[in-house]
Amino acid sequence: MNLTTYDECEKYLDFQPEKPWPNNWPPFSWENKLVSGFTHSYKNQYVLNFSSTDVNFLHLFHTCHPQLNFSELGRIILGWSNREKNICSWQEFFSLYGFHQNTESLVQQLKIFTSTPVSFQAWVNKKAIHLSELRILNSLEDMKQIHFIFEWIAEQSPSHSQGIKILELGVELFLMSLDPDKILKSYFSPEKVIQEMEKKRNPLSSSQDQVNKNNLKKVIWPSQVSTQWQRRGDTTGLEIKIWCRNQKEWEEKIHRVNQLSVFNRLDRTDPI
Amino acid sequence: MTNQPLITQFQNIYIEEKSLDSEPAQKAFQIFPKNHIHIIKDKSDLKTLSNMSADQFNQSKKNLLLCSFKGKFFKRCPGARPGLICCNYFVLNLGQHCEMDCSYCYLQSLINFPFVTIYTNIEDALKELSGIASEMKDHKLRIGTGEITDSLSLDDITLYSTHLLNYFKQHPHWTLEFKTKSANIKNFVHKEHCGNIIVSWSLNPQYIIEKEEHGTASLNERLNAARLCRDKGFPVAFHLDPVIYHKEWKENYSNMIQKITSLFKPEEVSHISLGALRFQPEQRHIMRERFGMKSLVTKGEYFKSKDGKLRYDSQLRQQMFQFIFSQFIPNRYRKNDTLQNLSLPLAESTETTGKRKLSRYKNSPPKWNLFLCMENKENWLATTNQLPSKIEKTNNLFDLKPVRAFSQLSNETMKNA
Ligand code: SF4
Repeated sequence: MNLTTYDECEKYLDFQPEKPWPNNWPPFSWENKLVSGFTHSYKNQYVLNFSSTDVNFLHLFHTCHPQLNFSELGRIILGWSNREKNICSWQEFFSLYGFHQNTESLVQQLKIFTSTPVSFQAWVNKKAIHLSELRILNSLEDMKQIHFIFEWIAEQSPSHSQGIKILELGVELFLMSLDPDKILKSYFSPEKVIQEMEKKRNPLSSSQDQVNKNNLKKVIWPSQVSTQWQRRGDTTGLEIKIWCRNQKEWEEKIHRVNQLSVFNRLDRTDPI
Repeated sequence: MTNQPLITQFQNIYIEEKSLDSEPAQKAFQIFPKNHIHIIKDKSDLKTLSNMSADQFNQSKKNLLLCSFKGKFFKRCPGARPGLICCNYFVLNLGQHCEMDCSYCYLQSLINFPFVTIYTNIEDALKELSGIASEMKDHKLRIGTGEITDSLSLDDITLYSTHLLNYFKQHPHWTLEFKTKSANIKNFVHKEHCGNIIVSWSLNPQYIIEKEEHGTASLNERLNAARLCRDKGFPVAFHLDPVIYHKEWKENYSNMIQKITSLFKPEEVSHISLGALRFQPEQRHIMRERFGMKSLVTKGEYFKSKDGKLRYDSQLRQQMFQFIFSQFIPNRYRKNDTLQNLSLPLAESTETTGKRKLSRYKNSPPKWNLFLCMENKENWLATTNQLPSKIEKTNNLFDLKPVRAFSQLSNETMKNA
């Protein structure tokens, strides 16, 4: 280990880390390549330089940056791609960060992620979304095609699960040429957007559900009986809530509900 | 669309050193150019790949690996899941992965080893079977080889059909099923057998084959191969699985069933299973990446079912099953298309196949042995009005005695180990 200066160090490992390097620490370098404290504020300062005999590069890098988000990992992939071979292998690098399998596919996904707008990346990092949840993006040739979806998500900041759902439905609608942008321009509520997107994505089951819902509206139910047409997984059915105070009321209401022969009025025979 | 010749399907052939003398390796040397063949020390030198990308999966279909297998070849069918009615079926895995390319193939979410693999030590598999045979000699086992690979498409390299045919001659009370989407029957069809090898085809209308079952044999090729097997006395079976919803589904499935019923008599077909498209949720990504959103499979409407798989709406499945069941009954016997008022028509049991004098349904409808594959109780009831264990001719398929005996045997082996 020796001392060198900021200006003397190579800076191509700079991946714009989001956590600032502690003020009271000098930047570190390895074989005169800066590994931390990249910002200009360190100009003219001394740098603690480690050699390959002192410490393995990866170990030093990981000690300086024990946690990295996907944007940072993506910038590392892009920035180091040409020169990384001299320093470490991607496989070793990623296993240090907890990714043990299929480096090739991970690198590909990080490259894709890095090409999304920064505001979207910030949403992903904030909501602690995992890269595997963004796999829908692999189906696109060019991320620019769906910037309007990224922007909507970044601006409206839906919850983790809502955002992932909107992204997947939005991309699928886009790939099916079903204009998801119209929906995103018309609604700001994530629930409503999901509802409208699902209607477009699943026209057959949505229209069947709608027919049943409309038919239900025509039924005159006994008082204090409420109903809802519901989807539960791969089946749909009628939820009936009955409020009653005693056995007699219960029997009366059940009898009246029975008399409505409600399932005969629902169109459950031919959805196609 | 027909099967491509093997030589054009594989770019790289890897052969493990200790498999070099095996029959499949010798065949590979005859079929493939030398510069495509690589000898490797041990298959453990090759990397597994979880969550393969589309490119990696595409490439995996071009890599052929011949190696020995150390694990258990014989297993219970992985289809058995809580909430589903599963038939009593065992699988003998003599390889894994497949060179054909169906858009819906479940191997896309299962395989984590990027090679079409052929196990070269079939003699160990047969030894394992013999061990089981001595313990379970009274049970009528149904065994298939087409669970994680196609039973016959690579038979020109493996020649396993012949070995298995010979082995099963010694176990006439067991049934072996070759399940395929190829028409590759030439290695065994002319050989002597004892009637316990069922040759079965997964069938779909030609329209679906062209759009979704890439590199497989055409419907006509599959049916012609089935006819030849039938003519040579092999029981044949069909799997209308996966049934795929599309705009013209009624017309296309109806035409296909018409073809089947005009070429075969119910007595000649051991069974016909029916199952709607289903897949693990994670699989949607790789299917979308590999086949885009124009595929009938990727653009389908799916919902999570009780077993965690994505399936069509249950109502739609019922409707498709009822329609398809109804198409096996000639018009004059149909009360209506939805079959609500018909009880399930069944074929003669497998034991009598071929022996009974065929009468062309004079007073009663033809009795095809149809059943649903991996479906819930509700859809069984809606389609057939009965549960399989109560249906006279399918109840032996759903008899769980052999399954229980096998579980007991496995547990005991584990304990002793
Ligand atoms: S033939 Fe079977 S195993 Fe092969 S790709 Fe098609 S579904 Fe998969």
